[in-house]
Amino acid sequence: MPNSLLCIQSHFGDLPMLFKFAQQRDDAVIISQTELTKQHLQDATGLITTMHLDQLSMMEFSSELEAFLTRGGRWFFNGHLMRPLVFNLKNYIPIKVAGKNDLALTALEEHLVFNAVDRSTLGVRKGVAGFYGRGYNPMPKGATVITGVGDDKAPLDWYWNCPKGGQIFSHAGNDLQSVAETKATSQILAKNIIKWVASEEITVGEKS
Amino acid sequence: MSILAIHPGSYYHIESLESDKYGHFFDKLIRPEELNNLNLSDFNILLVPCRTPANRMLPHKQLLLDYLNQGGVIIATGESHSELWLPGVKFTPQDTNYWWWLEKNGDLGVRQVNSENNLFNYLDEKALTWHLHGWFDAPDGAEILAVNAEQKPILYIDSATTKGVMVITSLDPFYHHGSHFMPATTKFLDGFLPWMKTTYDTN
Repeated sequence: MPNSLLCIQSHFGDLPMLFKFAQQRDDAVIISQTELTKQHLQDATGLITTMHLDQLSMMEFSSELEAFLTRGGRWFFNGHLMRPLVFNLKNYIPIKVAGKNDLALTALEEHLVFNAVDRSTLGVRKGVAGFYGRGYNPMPKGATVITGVGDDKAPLDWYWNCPKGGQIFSHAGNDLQSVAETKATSQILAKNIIKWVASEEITVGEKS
Repeated sequence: MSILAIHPGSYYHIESLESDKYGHFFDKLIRPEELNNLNLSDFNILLVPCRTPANRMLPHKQLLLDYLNQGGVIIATGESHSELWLPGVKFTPQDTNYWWWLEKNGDLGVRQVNSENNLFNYLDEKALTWHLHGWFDAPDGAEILAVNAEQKPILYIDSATTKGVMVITSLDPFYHHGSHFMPATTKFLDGFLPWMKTTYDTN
């Protein structure tokens, strides 16, 4: 489907809530990664991948991913980057965690993905820290850090306007929509992610 | 003879299977889709790590059964739905309490059993304890090594269902170690992988 919002499911089982929301859109294409073809990426204008992405397989689509971005595509990437999937991006680096405070999150920049979300609530679930992220995918030159982790505010979340076009949002942790304490916040995050990937405007303060 | 591990390619598999820390345990890593290209009988052990998508193992169900009936050893860790592609596995999911250790007198309830098994020369009960995703009805003749709070098996060895050996657990150490999350999972692998090699990679 031309101009599609491509959601790649890499795990076995039910669709995550994020993809169920995407499924309600006419432009959404939701596929198992084992069914991914070059055509899917050539048709896409938006892309969401999950923390379970088979990065070995995705390396075979590196050229199509770069072309997708260069055409102006938006990619929401969840997880630890362990292969240079595009533009020689570098591997994930874990931070040293000695205690809960080492996992403290700092909101460093606003982003549409966090519209109407109290980001101060995202660091713990049931009192346990670490789901949000425990390290970072190194930022390429020109990227902007959105969320820092630890005392050094390592770039756990960043976005990058790729030099030749397109944007990547990198979230180096569990799937972003899954880290919130409440279902309501998870749903807002999911809807915001879809809107951002679909390049739709989100009015500041809008309730998703 | 040697140890073969399935490599599904997610970041936590890459970290766990390729890293210097544990990579040396595996003589060969293979993609699920390439299993048919190998002669499995060349390997003493086939390890299937946590969160291997079951849809990528299901096409090889008969191949795995044949390997077992030739005396092969398959080790399958959690969240891979081994009940769908291995014989005799009956799994029941359970709610995951990941905050138990913050509760007063918190105790997940995991207990080792059959303590005389050699595994417990390599790891202790603490190394079995992070959180749970479910339990098994172990087949008749299986050796149960660990149970949950309800005394249901979460780790067992089945040498009865086939002519080979299946080491089955609902614990998911590769996923969490590979995510740099939950240190007990690293302690588990620190003991489990040497035990696996010493016990089953023997000729």
